[in-house]
Amino acid sequence: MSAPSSWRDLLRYLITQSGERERIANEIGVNPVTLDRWCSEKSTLRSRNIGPLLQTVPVAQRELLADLLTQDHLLADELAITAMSPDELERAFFRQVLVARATTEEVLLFWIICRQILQHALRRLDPESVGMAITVAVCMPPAADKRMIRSLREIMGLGTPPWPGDLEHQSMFLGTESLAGYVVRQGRPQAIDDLRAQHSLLPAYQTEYEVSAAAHPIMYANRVAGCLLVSSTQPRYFVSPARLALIADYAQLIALAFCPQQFYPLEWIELHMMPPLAVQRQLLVSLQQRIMQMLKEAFAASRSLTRDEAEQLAWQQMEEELIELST
Amino acid sequence: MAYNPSETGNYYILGDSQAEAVHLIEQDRNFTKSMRGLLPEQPEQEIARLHDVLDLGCGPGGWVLELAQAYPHLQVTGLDISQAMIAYARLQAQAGGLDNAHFTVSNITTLPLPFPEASFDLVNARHIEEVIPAASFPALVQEMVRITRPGGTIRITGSEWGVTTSAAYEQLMTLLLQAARRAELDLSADGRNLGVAPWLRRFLHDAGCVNIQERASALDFSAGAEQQLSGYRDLTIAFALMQPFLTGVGVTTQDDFEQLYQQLTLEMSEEHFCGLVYTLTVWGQKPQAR
Repeated sequence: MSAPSSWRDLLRYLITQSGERERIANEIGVNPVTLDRWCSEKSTLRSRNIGPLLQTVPVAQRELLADLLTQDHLLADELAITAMSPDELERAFFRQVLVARATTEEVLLFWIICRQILQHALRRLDPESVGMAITVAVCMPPAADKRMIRSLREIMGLGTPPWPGDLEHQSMFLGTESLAGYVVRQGRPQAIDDLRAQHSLLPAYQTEYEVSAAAHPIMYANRVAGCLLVSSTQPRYFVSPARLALIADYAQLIALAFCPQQFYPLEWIELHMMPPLAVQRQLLVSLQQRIMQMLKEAFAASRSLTRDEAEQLAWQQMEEELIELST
Repeated sequence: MAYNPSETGNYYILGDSQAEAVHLIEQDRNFTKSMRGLLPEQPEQEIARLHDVLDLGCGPGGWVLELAQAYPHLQVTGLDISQAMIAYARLQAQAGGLDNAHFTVSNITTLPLPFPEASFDLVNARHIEEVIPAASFPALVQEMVRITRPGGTIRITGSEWGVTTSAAYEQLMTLLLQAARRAELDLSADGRNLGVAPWLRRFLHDAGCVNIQERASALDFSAGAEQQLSGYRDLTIAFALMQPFLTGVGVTTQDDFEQLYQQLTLEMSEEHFCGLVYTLTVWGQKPQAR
């Protein structure tokens, strides 16, 4: 045949050879008519069929077919990504995070980077949707008259069922009673295989649906800003070193969302015991009310106060009250 | 990136950045929740009969990824003009091992679409009124019908941009609608709303669809509502991202915008704040071949 100008021309030629149409279709797992439809542009060649197609054609034509496929602009990008190794895919994702960090307005940066990483982490760590919650817990900035970090606060999270998709409204304070608290105090990652077992030496506050958990500190310059907390409905979900390494990668990436002053020396971490969620909820429902009250007071006193500043003050106020409650 | 669709063909009003990709995934989740599912109007036995699904203007692929994960028997393709959005979607699909989710870069205002006739069982478009000129709609719907198999479904979801008790929100919406009108995105008679929803049934009818039906839903982000916090985040981030569009089209200045933005964050935190976004899904079938 003369030099084919497209992968369709080449495939059309190949399937006219005796018995090849049926053989190729059979090995790919499609109907022979589908090959005709690919050639005549009546049907779209899917990326999942590209690999099997390349493997099925005679070796002599394989390289030419691969070249022609990459010249099809609709397939080229998808081919490039399906050909990436896991390491290359990780690097591609890291690049996306770095681009977001370089190009996002400062006021949105923290939220965007954290959400970007959580979106990817949830798909990667729970591809079968067996049930996972991934939460970012941060050190509560000390009030003006204090220096030590007394609690952590869950500030955002994403989940797959049975957890809701967005965990932000389930935010709670964590202290010494929690795995997150332990990890932040130690500055080292930790995992618990089965929270239902009684013999764990690690502190762990078991939330609804949670059977196993892993936490990794978010660090910069040997200081800590909080931790990435991953919970699963499955026992021993974090036994796999590869899975733990992924969690470590995500925690280190999330550090890019924080500014240097959000990291605290480990010796400043003096967590208190925080009350259970049911107790905390009684206070947490008053958040919006507190914010509005502070804004009204600031307005009446002609003091400048943004909503974000008021929210931070409200969280500090509630932290103080919860610590008092638990002592 | 400056808003310049006449040169780029890209009508992303929030800038098609990484930040916008992240934001759109979250916004998609909120809409899916308020609509009660990915295909809430389609009976499960109908979904079981589908094989190939296309989502036009898929952005970073939120709907495609969720559908591909929920229904592994489907082959779901997303198409969008933005390389950045499609790259984002592909990495998400790879992360989740979703080999039944596919993505293609193409402009939905440049027809024909790069698919043979009768390629899909269902062709979907959600909220494309924000990213294509209103005048492009009729021809696009005709094209959706062409690539749908006989008996297959064409499905379009459009929204109005919300009604609230916040004066700042309403002012920002007025600016946004003025900007949309200048960018030729709106279909309304007087520019006081986007005006796409009333047209959807007509578009499907004029394109030859039969059995046209519709379903409305509302996203409630009032104080105390389940979606208050996610709605607050979504809107404050969306407004922050659309500032270059509003100033670029010339309907406000940066200083005026920032003042309104601060006022918005306060008013949306008020105890009696109420806010709703209305959404309408209209779907119809391509007639069976005679």
